[in-house]
Amino acid sequence: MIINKIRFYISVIALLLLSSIWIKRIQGPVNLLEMWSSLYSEPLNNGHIAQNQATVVSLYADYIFKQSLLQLSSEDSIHLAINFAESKANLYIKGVPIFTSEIIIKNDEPLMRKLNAVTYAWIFESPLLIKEISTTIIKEPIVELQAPKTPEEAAQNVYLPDTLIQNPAFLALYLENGLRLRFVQADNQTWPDYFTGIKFYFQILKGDCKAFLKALLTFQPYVYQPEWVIALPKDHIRAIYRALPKQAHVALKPI
Amino acid sequence: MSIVFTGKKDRFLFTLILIFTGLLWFADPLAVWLLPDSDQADKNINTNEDQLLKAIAAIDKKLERKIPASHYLVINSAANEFLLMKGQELVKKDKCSTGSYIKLKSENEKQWMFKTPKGEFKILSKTKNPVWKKPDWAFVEAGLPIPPINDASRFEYGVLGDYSLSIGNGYLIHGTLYQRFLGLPVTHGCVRLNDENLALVYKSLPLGSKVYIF
Repeated sequence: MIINKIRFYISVIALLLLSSIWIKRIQGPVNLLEMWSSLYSEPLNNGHIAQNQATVVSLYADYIFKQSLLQLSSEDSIHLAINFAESKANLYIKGVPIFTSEIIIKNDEPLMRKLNAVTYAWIFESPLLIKEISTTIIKEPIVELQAPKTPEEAAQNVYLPDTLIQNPAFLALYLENGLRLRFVQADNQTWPDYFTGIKFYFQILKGDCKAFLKALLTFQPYVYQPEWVIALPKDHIRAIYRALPKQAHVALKPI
Repeated sequence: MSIVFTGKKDRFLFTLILIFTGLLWFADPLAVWLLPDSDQADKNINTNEDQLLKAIAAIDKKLERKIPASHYLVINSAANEFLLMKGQELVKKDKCSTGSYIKLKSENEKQWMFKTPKGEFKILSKTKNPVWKKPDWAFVEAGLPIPPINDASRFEYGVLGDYSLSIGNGYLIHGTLYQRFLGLPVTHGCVRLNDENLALVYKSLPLGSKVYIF
Protein backbone atom coordinates (compact mmCIF):
# COMPACT_ATOMS: atom_id res chain seq x y z
CA MET A 1 0.00 0.00 0.00
CA ILE A 2 2.76 2.45 1.00
CA ILE A 3 4.80 1.40 -2.01
CA ASN A 4 1.85 2.08 -4.27
CA LYS A 5 1.44 5.53 -2.76
CA ILE A 6 5.14 6.32 -3.18
CA ARG A 7 4.95 5.15 -6.79
CA PHE A 8 1.95 7.34 -7.39
CA TYR A 9 3.59 10.42 -5.91
CA ILE A 10 6.79 9.81 -7.87
CA SER A 11 4.71 9.60 -11.05
CA VAL A 12 2.94 12.85 -10.19
CA ILE A 13 6.26 14.59 -9.50
CA ALA A 14 7.67 13.24 -12.79
CA LEU A 15 4.60 14.50 -14.61
CA LEU A 16 4.93 17.94 -13.03
CA LEU A 17 8.61 18.08 -13.92
CA LEU A 18 7.84 17.09 -17.49
CA SER A 19 5.12 19.71 -17.66
CA SER A 20 7.56 22.39 -16.56
CA ILE A 21 10.04 21.20 -19.21
CA TRP A 22 7.22 21.37 -21.76
CA ILE A 23 6.33 24.89 -20.73
CA LYS A 24 9.97 25.91 -20.89
CA ARG A 25 10.31 24.45 -24.38
CA ILE A 26 7.06 25.92 -25.61
CA GLN A 27 8.23 29.35 -24.47
CA GLY A 28 11.33 29.06 -26.70
CA PRO A 29 9.92 30.68 -29.85
CA VAL A 30 8.19 33.42 -27.84
CA ASN A 31 11.43 34.15 -25.98
CA LEU A 32 13.29 34.37 -29.28
CA LEU A 33 10.75 36.80 -30.72
CA GLU A 34 10.92 38.89 -27.55
CA MET A 35 14.70 38.90 -27.70
CA TRP A 36 14.64 40.08 -31.32
CA SER A 37 12.03 42.73 -30.52
CA SER A 38 14.20 44.09 -27.73
CA LEU A 39 17.23 44.17 -30.03
CA TYR A 40 15.37 45.89 -32.84
CA SER A 41 13.23 48.35 -30.98
CA GLU A 42 14.45 51.37 -32.90
CA PRO A 43 12.18 52.68 -35.65
CA LEU A 44 12.82 51.20 -39.08
CA ASN A 45 14.32 53.53 -41.70
CA ASN A 46 12.49 52.23 -44.68
CA GLY A 47 9.74 49.97 -43.42
CA HIS A 48 6.42 50.14 -45.18
CA ILE A 49 4.38 47.01 -45.32
CA ALA A 50 1.06 45.46 -44.51
CA GLN A 51 1.58 41.78 -43.93
CA ASN A 52 -2.00 40.92 -44.79
CA GLN A 53 -1.26 41.09 -48.52
CA ALA A 54 0.61 38.06 -49.77
CA THR A 55 2.07 39.75 -52.87
CA VAL A 56 3.34 42.65 -50.83
CA VAL A 57 4.90 40.31 -48.29
CA SER A 58 6.74 38.58 -51.11
CA LEU A 59 7.76 41.91 -52.67
CA TYR A 60 8.89 43.22 -49.32
CA ALA A 61 10.97 40.10 -48.65
CA ASP A 62 12.50 40.54 -52.11
CA TYR A 63 13.28 44.18 -51.39
CA ILE A 64 14.92 43.32 -48.07
CA PHE A 65 16.97 40.52 -49.68
CA LYS A 66 18.20 42.74 -52.50
CA GLN A 67 19.17 45.45 -50.03
CA SER A 68 21.24 42.89 -48.21
CA LEU A 69 22.86 41.80 -51.50
CA LEU A 70 23.63 45.41 -52.35
CA GLN A 71 25.36 45.90 -49.01
CA LEU A 72 27.45 42.77 -49.60
CA SER A 73 28.45 43.91 -53.08
CA SER A 74 30.61 46.64 -51.56
CA GLU A 75 32.73 44.03 -49.76
CA ASP A 76 35.83 42.43 -51.29
CA SER A 77 35.36 38.93 -49.98
CA ILE A 78 33.27 36.02 -51.22
CA HIS A 79 29.83 35.72 -49.64
CA LEU A 80 26.81 33.49 -49.77
CA ALA A 81 23.23 34.34 -50.71
CA ILE A 82 20.34 31.97 -50.20
CA ASN A 83 17.00 32.66 -51.80
CA PHE A 84 14.44 30.15 -50.55
CA ALA A 85 11.70 31.55 -52.74
CA GLU A 86 13.72 30.73 -55.87
CA SER A 87 15.44 27.67 -54.32
CA LYS A 88 18.89 29.02 -55.10
CA ALA A 89 22.18 29.22 -53.25
CA ASN A 90 24.68 31.64 -54.82
CA LEU A 91 28.20 32.76 -54.17
CA TYR A 92 29.08 36.37 -54.97
CA ILE A 93 32.22 38.48 -55.12
CA LYS A 94 31.58 42.23 -55.15
CA GLY A 95 28.07 41.68 -56.44
CA VAL A 96 29.13 39.34 -59.25
CA PRO A 97 27.46 35.93 -59.08
CA ILE A 98 30.22 33.33 -59.43
CA PHE A 99 28.40 30.15 -58.45
CA THR A 100 24.79 29.02 -58.45
CA SER A 101 23.34 25.86 -57.04
CA GLU A 102 19.72 24.78 -57.25
CA ILE A 103 18.44 23.73 -53.85
CA ILE A 104 17.12 20.20 -54.24
CA ILE A 105 15.19 19.93 -50.98
CA LYS A 106 14.57 22.63 -48.41
CA ASN A 107 12.99 22.69 -45.03
CA ASP A 108 11.39 26.08 -44.36
CA GLU A 109 11.43 27.67 -40.94
CA PRO A 110 7.78 28.34 -39.97
CA LEU A 111 8.75 31.01 -37.44
CA MET A 112 9.65 33.37 -40.29
CA ARG A 113 5.98 33.60 -41.26
CA LYS A 114 5.19 34.78 -37.74
CA LEU A 115 7.59 37.71 -37.77
CA ASN A 116 6.23 41.19 -38.07
CA ALA A 117 7.61 43.36 -40.84
CA VAL A 118 9.82 45.47 -38.57
CA THR A 119 11.54 42.48 -37.00
CA TYR A 120 11.86 40.74 -40.37
CA ALA A 121 13.50 43.79 -41.89
CA TRP A 122 15.88 44.28 -38.99
CA ILE A 123 17.03 40.70 -39.14
CA PHE A 124 17.38 40.26 -42.89
CA GLU A 125 18.03 43.69 -44.43
CA SER A 126 21.71 43.43 -43.46
CA PRO A 127 23.91 40.47 -44.32
CA LEU A 128 24.22 37.98 -41.47
CA LEU A 129 27.67 37.19 -40.13
CA ILE A 130 28.62 33.52 -39.93
CA LYS A 131 29.64 33.19 -36.29
CA GLU A 132 30.54 29.52 -36.26
CA ILE A 133 30.88 26.66 -38.71
CA SER A 134 30.58 22.96 -38.07
CA THR A 135 31.32 20.56 -40.93
CA THR A 136 32.64 17.20 -42.13
CA ILE A 137 34.49 18.84 -45.05
CA ILE A 138 38.20 19.61 -44.97
CA LYS A 139 38.73 23.32 -45.68
CA GLU A 140 42.15 22.97 -47.26
CA PRO A 141 43.13 19.39 -48.11
CA ILE A 142 46.82 20.01 -47.57
CA VAL A 143 49.22 17.18 -48.38
CA GLU A 144 52.66 17.64 -46.81
CA LEU A 145 55.56 16.36 -48.87
CA GLN A 146 59.21 16.26 -47.91
CA ALA A 147 61.41 17.39 -50.81
CA PRO A 148 63.10 14.44 -52.52
CA LYS A 149 66.86 14.26 -52.39
CA THR A 150 67.34 12.80 -55.85
CA PRO A 151 65.41 12.82 -59.17
CA GLU A 152 64.82 9.06 -58.69
CA GLU A 153 63.15 9.71 -55.34
CA ALA A 154 61.09 12.53 -56.93
CA ALA A 155 59.72 10.12 -59.51
CA GLN A 156 58.31 7.97 -56.70
CA ASN A 157 56.43 10.88 -55.05
CA VAL A 158 52.81 10.00 -55.73
CA TYR A 159 49.76 11.44 -54.00
CA LEU A 160 46.01 11.20 -54.45
CA PRO A 161 44.43 14.44 -55.76
CA ASP A 162 41.73 15.88 -53.52
CA THR A 163 38.90 15.51 -56.02
CA LEU A 164 39.34 11.76 -55.90
CA ILE A 165 38.79 11.69 -52.14
CA GLN A 166 35.04 12.00 -51.73
CA ASN A 167 34.47 12.86 -48.09
CA PRO A 168 30.83 13.20 -47.03
CA ALA A 169 29.66 16.82 -47.17
CA PHE A 170 27.59 18.08 -44.24
CA LEU A 171 27.78 21.66 -43.12
CA ALA A 172 26.13 23.83 -40.46
CA LEU A 173 26.48 27.61 -40.49
CA TYR A 174 25.62 29.38 -37.23
CA LEU A 175 24.55 32.90 -38.08
CA GLU A 176 23.88 36.06 -36.14
CA ASN A 177 20.60 36.30 -34.24
CA GLY A 178 20.68 32.60 -33.38
CA LEU A 179 19.82 31.41 -36.90
CA ARG A 180 21.23 28.22 -38.39
CA LEU A 181 21.63 26.87 -41.91
CA ARG A 182 22.24 23.14 -42.21
CA PHE A 183 23.43 21.77 -45.55
CA VAL A 184 23.02 18.09 -46.27
CA GLN A 185 24.27 16.27 -49.35
CA ALA A 186 21.54 15.16 -51.71
CA ASP A 187 23.46 12.92 -54.08
CA ASN A 188 25.76 9.88 -54.13
CA GLN A 189 24.74 8.80 -50.64
CA THR A 190 26.69 5.71 -49.65
CA TRP A 191 26.35 3.94 -46.29
CA PRO A 192 29.40 5.73 -44.81
CA ASP A 193 27.80 9.01 -45.98
CA TYR A 194 24.54 8.15 -44.22
CA PHE A 195 26.37 7.28 -41.01
CA THR A 196 28.45 10.45 -41.17
CA GLY A 197 25.23 12.44 -41.75
CA ILE A 198 23.51 10.86 -38.76
CA LYS A 199 26.59 11.38 -36.59
CA PHE A 200 26.77 15.02 -37.71
CA TYR A 201 23.06 15.51 -36.98
CA PHE A 202 23.39 14.04 -33.50
CA GLN A 203 26.35 16.29 -32.84
CA ILE A 204 24.15 19.32 -33.63
CA LEU A 205 21.30 17.84 -31.59
CA LYS A 206 23.67 17.37 -28.67
CA GLY A 207 24.48 21.08 -28.79
CA ASP A 208 20.77 21.95 -28.84
CA CYS A 209 20.02 19.64 -25.90
CA LYS A 210 22.94 21.11 -23.95
CA ALA A 211 21.60 24.63 -24.53
CA PHE A 212 18.12 23.56 -23.41
CA LEU A 213 19.37 21.77 -20.29
CA LYS A 214 21.55 24.73 -19.41
CA ALA A 215 18.54 27.04 -19.65
CA LEU A 216 16.51 24.59 -17.58
CA LEU A 217 19.05 24.17 -14.81
CA THR A 218 20.08 27.80 -14.57
CA PHE A 219 16.47 29.07 -14.73
CA GLN A 220 17.35 31.14 -17.78
CA PRO A 221 14.80 31.58 -20.58
CA TYR A 222 15.18 28.93 -23.28
CA VAL A 223 15.54 30.40 -26.76
CA TYR A 224 14.25 28.52 -29.79
CA GLN A 225 16.76 27.63 -32.52
CA PRO A 226 15.41 28.49 -35.99
CA GLU A 227 16.96 26.25 -38.61
CA TRP A 228 16.76 25.72 -42.36
CA VAL A 229 17.81 22.41 -43.85
CA ILE A 230 19.13 22.68 -47.39
CA ALA A 231 19.92 19.68 -49.57
CA LEU A 232 22.50 20.33 -52.30
CA PRO A 233 24.82 18.17 -54.40
CA LYS A 234 27.89 17.10 -52.45
CA ASP A 235 30.35 18.97 -54.68
CA HIS A 236 28.35 22.17 -54.36
CA ILE A 237 28.42 22.08 -50.55
CA ARG A 238 32.17 21.54 -50.72
CA ALA A 239 32.61 24.43 -53.18
CA ILE A 240 30.54 26.76 -50.98
CA TYR A 241 32.38 25.86 -47.78
CA ARG A 242 35.84 26.14 -49.32
CA ALA A 243 35.00 29.47 -50.93
CA LEU A 244 33.80 31.16 -47.75
CA PRO A 245 36.40 33.35 -46.02
CA LYS A 246 36.79 33.64 -42.23
CA GLN A 247 34.42 36.55 -41.64
CA ALA A 248 31.86 35.53 -44.23
CA HIS A 249 28.36 36.93 -44.50
CA VAL A 250 25.11 35.47 -45.74
CA ALA A 251 22.22 37.27 -47.41
CA LEU A 252 19.06 35.32 -46.68
CA LYS A 253 15.58 35.39 -48.12
CA PRO A 254 13.65 32.91 -46.02
CA ILE A 255 10.16 33.51 -47.42
CA MET B 1 9.08 -4.83 -4.82
CA SER B 2 7.59 -4.79 -8.27
CA ILE B 3 8.15 -1.80 -10.49
CA VAL B 4 5.33 -2.77 -12.83
CA PHE B 5 2.46 -0.28 -12.84
CA THR B 6 -0.57 -2.23 -11.81
CA GLY B 7 -3.23 0.22 -10.66
CA LYS B 8 -5.42 2.12 -13.13
CA LYS B 9 -4.19 5.49 -11.85
CA ASP B 10 -0.55 4.35 -12.09
CA ARG B 11 -0.96 3.11 -15.63
CA PHE B 12 -2.70 6.34 -16.63
CA LEU B 13 0.10 8.46 -15.16
CA PHE B 14 2.78 6.29 -16.72
CA THR B 15 1.12 6.61 -20.14
CA LEU B 16 0.88 10.37 -19.68
CA ILE B 17 4.58 10.56 -18.81
CA LEU B 18 5.47 8.54 -21.88
CA ILE B 19 3.30 10.70 -24.16
CA PHE B 20 4.65 13.91 -22.66
CA THR B 21 8.24 12.75 -23.07
CA GLY B 22 7.68 11.58 -26.62
CA LEU B 23 5.93 14.78 -27.62
CA LEU B 24 8.67 16.94 -26.11
CA TRP B 25 10.39 16.62 -29.47
CA PHE B 26 7.46 18.42 -31.11
CA ALA B 27 7.07 21.12 -28.46
CA ASP B 28 9.02 23.75 -30.41
CA PRO B 29 7.24 23.32 -33.76
CA LEU B 30 3.92 23.19 -31.93
CA ALA B 31 4.70 26.45 -30.17
CA VAL B 32 5.67 28.07 -33.46
CA TRP B 33 2.46 26.81 -35.03
CA LEU B 34 0.42 28.22 -32.15
CA LEU B 35 1.94 31.68 -32.51
CA PRO B 36 -0.37 34.20 -34.18
CA ASP B 37 0.35 34.97 -37.82
CA SER B 38 2.11 38.22 -38.53
CA ASP B 39 -0.88 39.80 -40.24
CA GLN B 40 -1.94 40.82 -36.75
CA ALA B 41 0.95 43.22 -36.64
CA ASP B 42 2.05 46.34 -38.46
CA LYS B 43 -1.33 47.47 -39.63
CA ASN B 44 -0.18 50.96 -38.88
CA ILE B 45 2.59 50.73 -41.48
CA ASN B 46 1.56 51.91 -44.93
CA THR B 47 2.09 49.76 -47.96
CA ASN B 48 2.66 50.91 -51.45
CA GLU B 49 3.20 48.11 -53.93
CA ASP B 50 4.37 50.49 -56.65
CA GLN B 51 6.93 52.04 -54.33
CA LEU B 52 8.29 48.61 -53.48
CA LEU B 53 8.47 47.61 -57.15
CA LYS B 54 10.33 50.81 -57.98
CA ALA B 55 12.74 50.30 -55.09
CA ILE B 56 13.43 46.72 -56.19
CA ALA B 57 14.01 47.80 -59.80
CA ALA B 58 16.45 50.47 -58.63
CA ILE B 59 18.44 47.92 -56.58
CA ASP B 60 18.37 45.44 -59.48
CA LYS B 61 19.91 48.09 -61.72
CA LYS B 62 22.65 48.79 -59.19
CA LEU B 63 23.36 45.07 -58.83
CA GLU B 64 23.44 44.55 -62.61
CA ARG B 65 26.01 47.31 -62.94
CA LYS B 66 28.35 45.26 -60.70
CA ILE B 67 28.53 42.47 -63.30
CA PRO B 68 31.21 43.14 -65.95
CA ALA B 69 29.60 43.78 -69.31
CA SER B 70 32.57 42.36 -71.21
CA HIS B 71 34.14 38.89 -70.91
CA TYR B 72 35.33 37.61 -67.55
CA LEU B 73 36.52 34.31 -66.15
CA VAL B 74 35.19 32.42 -63.11
CA ILE B 75 37.28 29.55 -61.72
CA ASN B 76 35.88 27.00 -59.30
CA SER B 77 38.96 25.56 -57.59
CA ALA B 78 36.95 23.00 -55.60
CA ALA B 79 35.46 21.44 -58.73
CA ASN B 80 38.34 22.38 -61.10
CA GLU B 81 35.97 23.99 -63.56
CA PHE B 82 35.96 27.34 -65.29
CA LEU B 83 33.24 29.54 -66.74
CA LEU B 84 33.94 32.10 -69.42
CA MET B 85 31.18 34.68 -69.13
CA LYS B 86 30.10 37.75 -71.04
CA GLY B 87 27.82 39.81 -68.84
CA GLN B 88 25.24 37.32 -67.61
CA GLU B 89 25.71 35.04 -70.61
CA LEU B 90 27.72 31.82 -70.38
CA VAL B 91 30.24 31.55 -73.22
CA LYS B 92 32.08 28.37 -72.21
CA LYS B 93 32.18 25.94 -69.31
CA ASP B 94 34.83 23.26 -69.08
CA LYS B 95 37.43 21.54 -66.95
CA CYS B 96 40.62 23.17 -65.73
CA SER B 97 43.28 22.33 -63.17
CA THR B 98 44.07 24.34 -60.07
CA GLY B 99 46.42 24.13 -57.08
CA SER B 100 47.17 20.72 -55.57
CA TYR B 101 47.33 21.90 -51.93
CA ILE B 102 50.71 20.22 -51.63
CA LYS B 103 53.00 21.74 -49.03
CA LEU B 104 56.53 21.02 -50.16
CA LYS B 105 59.18 21.12 -47.45
CA SER B 106 62.85 21.31 -48.30
CA GLU B 107 65.73 20.14 -46.13
CA ASN B 108 66.72 23.73 -45.24
CA GLU B 109 63.27 24.42 -43.66
CA LYS B 110 62.00 26.30 -46.73
CA GLN B 111 58.45 25.46 -47.73
CA TRP B 112 56.06 26.14 -50.58
CA MET B 113 52.28 25.83 -50.65
CA PHE B 114 50.83 24.98 -54.07
CA LYS B 115 47.42 26.55 -53.81
CA THR B 116 45.43 28.76 -56.19
CA PRO B 117 44.58 32.10 -54.57
CA LYS B 118 40.90 33.04 -54.17
CA GLY B 119 39.23 36.36 -54.84
CA GLU B 120 38.99 38.95 -57.58
CA PHE B 121 41.93 39.37 -59.99
CA LYS B 122 42.68 41.17 -63.25
CA ILE B 123 44.53 40.09 -66.37
CA LEU B 124 47.77 42.01 -65.95
CA SER B 125 49.69 40.74 -68.96
CA LYS B 126 49.28 38.39 -71.91
CA THR B 127 52.05 36.45 -73.62
CA LYS B 128 52.19 34.41 -76.82
CA ASN B 129 54.50 31.38 -76.84
CA PRO B 130 55.49 31.88 -73.20
CA VAL B 131 58.74 30.59 -71.77
CA TRP B 132 58.61 29.20 -68.26
CA LYS B 133 61.25 30.55 -65.94
CA LYS B 134 61.39 27.78 -63.40
CA PRO B 135 61.27 28.95 -59.80
CA ASP B 136 63.29 27.32 -56.98
CA TRP B 137 60.51 24.91 -56.01
CA ALA B 138 60.55 23.31 -59.46
CA PHE B 139 64.12 22.11 -58.78
CA VAL B 140 63.46 21.19 -55.14
CA GLU B 141 60.41 19.18 -56.21
CA ALA B 142 62.44 17.32 -58.81
CA GLY B 143 65.23 16.53 -56.36
CA LEU B 144 67.71 18.73 -58.24
CA PRO B 145 70.12 21.38 -56.94
CA ILE B 146 68.86 24.98 -57.25
CA PRO B 147 70.76 26.80 -60.05
CA PRO B 148 71.65 30.53 -60.10
CA ILE B 149 68.79 32.95 -60.90
CA ASN B 150 69.37 33.37 -64.64
CA ASP B 151 70.87 29.98 -65.31
CA ALA B 152 69.95 28.46 -68.67
CA SER B 153 68.43 25.41 -66.94
CA ARG B 154 65.71 27.67 -65.51
CA PHE B 155 64.19 28.41 -68.92
CA GLU B 156 61.86 25.87 -70.43
CA TYR B 157 60.11 26.27 -73.77
CA GLY B 158 56.71 24.92 -74.80
CA VAL B 159 55.52 23.65 -71.42
CA LEU B 160 52.99 26.47 -70.80
CA GLY B 161 51.15 26.03 -74.09
CA ASP B 162 50.67 28.67 -76.77
CA TYR B 163 49.57 31.47 -74.47
CA SER B 164 49.76 32.64 -70.88
CA LEU B 165 47.79 35.29 -69.00
CA SER B 166 49.17 36.71 -65.76
CA ILE B 167 46.90 37.53 -62.81
CA GLY B 168 49.75 38.74 -60.60
CA ASN B 169 52.14 37.37 -57.95
CA GLY B 170 53.50 34.82 -60.42
CA TYR B 171 50.14 33.13 -60.97
CA LEU B 172 49.30 32.39 -64.60
CA ILE B 173 46.51 30.97 -66.68
CA HIS B 174 48.29 28.73 -69.17
CA GLY B 175 48.18 25.51 -71.16
CA THR B 176 49.57 22.13 -70.26
CA LEU B 177 51.30 19.09 -71.68
CA TYR B 178 49.41 16.90 -69.21
CA GLN B 179 45.87 17.28 -70.56
CA ARG B 180 44.76 14.04 -68.90
CA PHE B 181 45.06 15.79 -65.53
CA LEU B 182 42.53 18.51 -66.43
CA GLY B 183 39.70 18.50 -63.87
CA LEU B 184 42.11 17.52 -61.10
CA PRO B 185 43.92 19.70 -58.56
CA VAL B 186 47.49 19.11 -59.70
CA THR B 187 49.06 22.52 -60.37
CA HIS B 188 51.46 24.63 -58.33
CA GLY B 189 48.88 27.41 -58.02
CA CYS B 190 48.46 28.39 -61.68
CA VAL B 191 45.33 27.58 -63.66
CA ARG B 192 45.76 25.14 -66.53
CA LEU B 193 43.41 24.94 -69.52
CA ASN B 194 43.39 22.78 -72.61
CA ASP B 195 44.70 24.25 -75.88
CA GLU B 196 41.30 25.11 -77.34
CA ASN B 197 40.00 26.77 -74.17
CA LEU B 198 43.27 28.62 -73.66
CA ALA B 199 43.05 30.11 -77.15
CA LEU B 200 39.44 31.17 -76.52
CA VAL B 201 40.25 32.72 -73.15
CA TYR B 202 43.31 34.48 -74.58
CA LYS B 203 41.23 35.89 -77.43
CA SER B 204 38.28 36.87 -75.23
CA LEU B 205 39.97 38.48 -72.24
CA PRO B 206 41.72 41.80 -72.91
CA LEU B 207 44.11 43.31 -70.37
CA GLY B 208 42.25 44.39 -67.25
CA SER B 209 39.53 41.73 -67.59
CA LYS B 210 38.25 40.31 -64.34
CA VAL B 211 39.09 36.81 -63.12
CA TYR B 212 37.16 35.49 -60.14
CA ILE B 213 38.56 32.48 -58.31
CA PHE B 214 36.78 30.63 -55.51
